[in-house]
Amino acid sequence: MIIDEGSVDAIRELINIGVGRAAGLLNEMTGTHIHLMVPEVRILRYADLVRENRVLEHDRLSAVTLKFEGSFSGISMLVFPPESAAILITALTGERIAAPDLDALRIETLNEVGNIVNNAVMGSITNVLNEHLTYSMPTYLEGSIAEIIETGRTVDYDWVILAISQFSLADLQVVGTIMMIFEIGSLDTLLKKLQDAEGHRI
Amino acid sequence: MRHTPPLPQGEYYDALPLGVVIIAQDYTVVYWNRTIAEWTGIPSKEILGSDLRERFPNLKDRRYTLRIQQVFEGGPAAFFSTQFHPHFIRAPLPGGGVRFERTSVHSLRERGEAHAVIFIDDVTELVTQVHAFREMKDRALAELEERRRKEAALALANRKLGLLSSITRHDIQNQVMALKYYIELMREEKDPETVAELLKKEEIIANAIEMQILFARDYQDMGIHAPLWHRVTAIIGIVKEALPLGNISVVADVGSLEVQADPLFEKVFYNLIDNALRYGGPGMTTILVSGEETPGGLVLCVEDDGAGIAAKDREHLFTRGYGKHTGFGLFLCREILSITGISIEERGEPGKGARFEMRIPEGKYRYPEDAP
Repeated sequence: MIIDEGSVDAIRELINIGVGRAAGLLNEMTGTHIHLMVPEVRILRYADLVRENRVLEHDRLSAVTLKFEGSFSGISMLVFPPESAAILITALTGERIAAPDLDALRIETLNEVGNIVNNAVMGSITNVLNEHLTYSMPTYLEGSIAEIIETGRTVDYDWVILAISQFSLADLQVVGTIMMIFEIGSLDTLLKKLQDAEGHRI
Repeated sequence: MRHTPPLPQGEYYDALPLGVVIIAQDYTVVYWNRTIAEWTGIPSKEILGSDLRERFPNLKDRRYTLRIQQVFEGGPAAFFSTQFHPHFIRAPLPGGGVRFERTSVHSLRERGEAHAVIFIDDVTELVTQVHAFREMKDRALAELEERRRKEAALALANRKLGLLSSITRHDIQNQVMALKYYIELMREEKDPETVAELLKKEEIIANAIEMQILFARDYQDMGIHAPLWHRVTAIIGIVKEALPLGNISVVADVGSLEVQADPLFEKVFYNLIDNALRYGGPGMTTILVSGEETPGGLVLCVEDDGAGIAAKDREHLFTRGYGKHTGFGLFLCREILSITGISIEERGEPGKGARFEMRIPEGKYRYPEDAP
């Protein structure tokens, strides 16, 4: 499969639209001024994900996952190092604590933030394609990236869209990663549909 | 218009310990399970067919409608956490108070129409336990901090004990020997002028011993009590009252700055301003106290426009016993500041004035907003 720069640009644009909506919602919900940016989007082989240092440099990660099924299938997730996640959540909820950590309530809150981001990104993609997908419940998982991806896996994955996302609020900057991991053949379908949609627009 | 439950298995939802509500796209309630009826006190027959937003106006807010709309359009489930949405459907507790809820909203197509199924979990017990856990953790952290402070105070006390004993043994003993020597000389001396000279020297020694005893008292007190938040402008005001300023103007340009430091923090400013007054020279007109935030923390400066400090003196300035007066002042300043991790150095220009910079780490200073 050949992935050209145009396809990456289209995906970057859709993800940016999604995170922009997510940021708007988070701002309304929390009363904070959060800014969400995706400065970098890359597409890589699932097998190469394990060599992706920026995702794997932490032994333990917090992830909010969302499985989707349809003409293209896979799993979308928002991943943070737990310390960054705790800092983000305490900033969003306005808590003032010296050493932020993730307890049951903050994990729930992170689940909602991840749910908002995942839904906005998936919504942005399915809207432009006029596509209907079936989704699982949003799930919070903790562990290494391998443990997170392997949890409940029943299919083989093929390609990964990796989007480095930057959450900025007040003087705080937290970096997370949006990942969309596709089952075999699914990314081809998505790219083909994107090209078709682009063709229709032209 | 009467709506019927769109799901034939709707009755099974009655057995669940969850609140279950099904709404049509216009928010008309088409299903209201037994649990949510018990929690809210609203029976199913009373609410079926009515707009859920009229009974629970919080759901008119865009924070809900935008996300629920995406569910109606077949999007993924929307999850509403307890922290951001504690009472999705307000449900009182029998003993008073309101239930804490965790809610998810799911898409459902029934007979070709879009619906949303709302699942509400009562997490009041969880919230109570987590809050109790957080309080317990905060207490444990505070106790740990107190223990750390006590250990540091103990280490400091040991260091001080060694130093105080060396002051009494060496410094005072040397002075006493000199005093005895002058007394012996006086016994044999008949010339009144020489006797007067010797008396002057004895007085200087007595003053030096007094200074050493005063230093020992201050040094003994240092680090014993927990650090406090000090308003810098208030300290400068006290120091200005205590020192003979003459025509020298002392300006504090620090706003509402507060610094967390040993209770003897005031002595730092007393010593720095006293030093400036003693050695600034006749050309000195102003002593300025100012603060500047930097990426590593706050730099708090005490500077003057006097004679400044010679480069050769700079590296020994904070050494005990070094200096023209007692040799204790700047040493004491450094020791007092170091208790809360504040460093001090002199960075003025000889001939243009002295400039003492205190580097205060993040978290050890603040600017209270309500300050006058």
